[in-house]
Amino acid sequence: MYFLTRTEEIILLAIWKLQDAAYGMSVREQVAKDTGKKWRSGAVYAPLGRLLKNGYVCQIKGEPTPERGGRHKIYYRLTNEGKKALIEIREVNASIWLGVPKLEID
Amino acid sequence: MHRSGWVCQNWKLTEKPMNKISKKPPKIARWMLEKMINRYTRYTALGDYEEEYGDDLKNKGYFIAVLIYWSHLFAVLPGYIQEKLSVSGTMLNNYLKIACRNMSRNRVYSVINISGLAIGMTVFTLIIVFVLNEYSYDKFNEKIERIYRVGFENFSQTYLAPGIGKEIRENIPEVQKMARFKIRTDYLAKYLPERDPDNPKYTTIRRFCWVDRDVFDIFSFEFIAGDPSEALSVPYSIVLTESIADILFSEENPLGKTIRINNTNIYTVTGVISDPDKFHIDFDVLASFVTLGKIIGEHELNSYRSWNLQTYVLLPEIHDKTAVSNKMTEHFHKILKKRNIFDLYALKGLYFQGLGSGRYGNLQFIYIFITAAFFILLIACINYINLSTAKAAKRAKEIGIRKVSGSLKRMLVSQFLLESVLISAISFLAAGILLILFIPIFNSMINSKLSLASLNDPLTVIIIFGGVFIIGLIAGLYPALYLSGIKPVSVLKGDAAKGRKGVIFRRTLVVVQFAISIILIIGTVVVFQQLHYVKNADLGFNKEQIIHFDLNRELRSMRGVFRERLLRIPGIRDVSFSQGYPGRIYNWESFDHKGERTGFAVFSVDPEYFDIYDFELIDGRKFSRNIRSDEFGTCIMNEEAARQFKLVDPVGTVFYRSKWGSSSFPSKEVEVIGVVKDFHFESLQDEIRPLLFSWNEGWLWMANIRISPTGISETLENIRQLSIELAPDFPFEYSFINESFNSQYKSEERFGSIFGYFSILAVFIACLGLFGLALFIVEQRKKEVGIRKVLGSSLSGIIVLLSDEFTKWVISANIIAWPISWFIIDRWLNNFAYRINIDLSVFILAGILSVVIAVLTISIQTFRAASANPVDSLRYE
Repeated sequence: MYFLTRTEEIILLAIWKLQDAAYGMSVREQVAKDTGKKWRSGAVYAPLGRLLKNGYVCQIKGEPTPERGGRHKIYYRLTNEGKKALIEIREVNASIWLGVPKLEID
Repeated sequence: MHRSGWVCQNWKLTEKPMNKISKKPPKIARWMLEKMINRYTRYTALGDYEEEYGDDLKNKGYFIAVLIYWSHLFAVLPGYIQEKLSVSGTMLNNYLKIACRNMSRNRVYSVINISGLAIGMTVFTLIIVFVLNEYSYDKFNEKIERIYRVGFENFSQTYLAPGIGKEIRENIPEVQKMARFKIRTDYLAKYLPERDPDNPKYTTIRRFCWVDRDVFDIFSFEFIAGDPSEALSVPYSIVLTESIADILFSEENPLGKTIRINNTNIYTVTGVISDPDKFHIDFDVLASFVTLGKIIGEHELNSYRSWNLQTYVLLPEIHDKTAVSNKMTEHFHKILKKRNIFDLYALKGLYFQGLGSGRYGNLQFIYIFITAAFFILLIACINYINLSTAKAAKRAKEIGIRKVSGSLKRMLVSQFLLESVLISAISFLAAGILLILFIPIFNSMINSKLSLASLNDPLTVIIIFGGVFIIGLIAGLYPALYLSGIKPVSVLKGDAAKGRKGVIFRRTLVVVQFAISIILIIGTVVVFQQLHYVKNADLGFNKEQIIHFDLNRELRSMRGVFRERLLRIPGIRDVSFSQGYPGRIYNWESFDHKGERTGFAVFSVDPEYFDIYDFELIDGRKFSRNIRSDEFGTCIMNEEAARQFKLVDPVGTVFYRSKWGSSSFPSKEVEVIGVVKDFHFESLQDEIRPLLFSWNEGWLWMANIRISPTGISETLENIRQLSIELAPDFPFEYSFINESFNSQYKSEERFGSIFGYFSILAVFIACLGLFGLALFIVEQRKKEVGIRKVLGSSLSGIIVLLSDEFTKWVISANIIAWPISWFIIDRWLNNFAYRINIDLSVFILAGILSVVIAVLTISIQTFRAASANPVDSLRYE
């Protein structure tokens, strides 16, 4: 059985949070905001590519803009597969955290 | 509506400065990213990066934005490698590990490879820095594309009369701005500090420059203090360079302070510019022509009498240079009554044409250096290729096993490429350290101020990094293909590739290495021979024990007294005053004789000059103080001058000055009273040109003093005392004539010494490679040597046997190198009008030298092999 990796989880969640506004830049910003850390661009794009390849997200072509060198914006959406994987990982997360005794650093 | 108009304007304002620096991200980086980002996210990522670049440009500045954009490459690189080489991270790890193990197992070979490559890269980077520096001259000018120097066609005249500039400004509409430069040397500047007036500060201004005030509109000098538009607008104002301002004012603010120049006029400092080190004219101080007009008279600024100004013009954005110069030609045809073809020389290339005063570069040197640096790098790469293919036998088993366990050929190729890139990366680090160590030495050698700071441009850094990568690839490509081509069956069966294949290829490469080294050796030797020749050639006059120095203003006015007092000093044999010294003397004037017009070098001297320098008089007589008329309109010519005018019996001939220019001849007619034998008054690079000596007391600006060879330092001290007594405000500096004359060859000398170092390095790297190869071959033939020894071969016999092959290589390298080097050197020598003939002995010497060096290099190995106990090599069989 295959679980999402943490990175994939974070990226998928970012896309879900952004809903219609999820394209490369905004995903990167969201991810950075969520985790409070700087992400190297490769650390986002590589898993994103993998998610795309595995069918967890799909692309939607947006309008071309001059500041992107005339390229279209590419919006990302979760596919049902992606949603399913997120739900699954949420359950796994919940269950692995279930019954954890009080966790403290001495 | 109104509001939106305002917004629009505002937007334009913010947009405008950004147009200057490109709004688009760097092209190369974009292209590389496009190739490297994985195809699933390529489109979106590229767009994102570009958007981000736009934001960074606004918020963080150009430099950071470019840097960030480039840094994306590093982020995508690992993924790219993985994808392209179809090598997983684990395998990549394995490759690195194996590479490191290999390096540490074969330490000698690794050291040879790395040190060779490191030296090669150091030289290469040094040369890149040097070349970048050379090309950076004058580039600080924002309007560089529009600035031209006015001159005549074929470089025939680069110094113009003041009137030319004035006419151009007033009558050629295309010329927007015009500035003339008139350079005077060794002015004395004096500053009385307000707080401490008893303690004046002095400095000699080496190069004092008179300019038109438009100069700041044409050239973009960087003002540290003062306003460029106001700086020279008032008469008697002056602009200092930073270093002069530092000397005179140190902590004080120079603006508004007054300084006294040559103890006469007082100037107000209205500006300080940072030292224009990268400007082709060398100057320390700028003062305006308006002031000059007040001193020497307004009409002088419009005259056509003295031709000693450099004139620059600024043309509009869109201009037709030839049309403008044609207009000038037409315009001056009327004024000068003579048709001179004007030409405009673009500022861009001026530095390398070397016709200005001050700084110039030499394109030929640059090309030769680049080529040499490239070849040194090539030699180092060859070392790598040779050693790694030679060592193939050792790796054969590994390769065989890898192949059997399913490695593809391209995986092996990528493995070996990775190894070579790793080696070149290590070498690059070493080169970086070497570079930091050697830059000061290199600087003192070529007398420059290079620093690694010129590498702060991100693009240059990337180019150099890319270069390293590419060098690694080039060096690694052949070995990679060769090694990955080894057949597993043959390896595992036992008859491993013993490195037989490729022996011929390796041999060829070694021959190439040595051929290059030999060419460099021969080149160095000949360059030094030629330099020795020109420095010690018989110049046709006596140049020993003569000192010369410029007469300062005070001494000039009391020449007579000075001479008398000098002659009283016991060590002084003779004193003469002249316009200059051989090597730096003359005006160029034209004369008419029987309808023919010829240009002559004209040189003003006094009668004693001929005694000091021992010129050989072949006809007529010298100037005489007893004949009053000698000072007016007589001359002594050299043989070449007589030849130019086709004079059979020159003495008594009268010819006429053509109109132009100021002259040391007061009258129009000039009578020949004597002829001296030809002598070299210029560098031996040039033919002896026609020369006239005139005698005009007003033109004598330099003292020539012959001193006796004993007690020189005492005599010099006496002269100094006297000079300071008579002219207390001026420093006393002198030089010996032979040194001054030979300083003409400074750039050749520098060239020679750099070339010398190059050849030493080339030989060294080539020898490193040879050493490694010898080590390998000797190892391979260990058993053979053992058997031979057991069968009774002698020590010397085995050494000869082992050295034999190498000697053959080096000799064939010689045979290739000789004609090539002859060809190159002959071309270089042709720069000199007086040159040595290339001697066969140079070639033979270089040949013997190379063989000796090669044999010595391998002798350690051969001797060790030959003297080894055969038992050790044969025991295990």
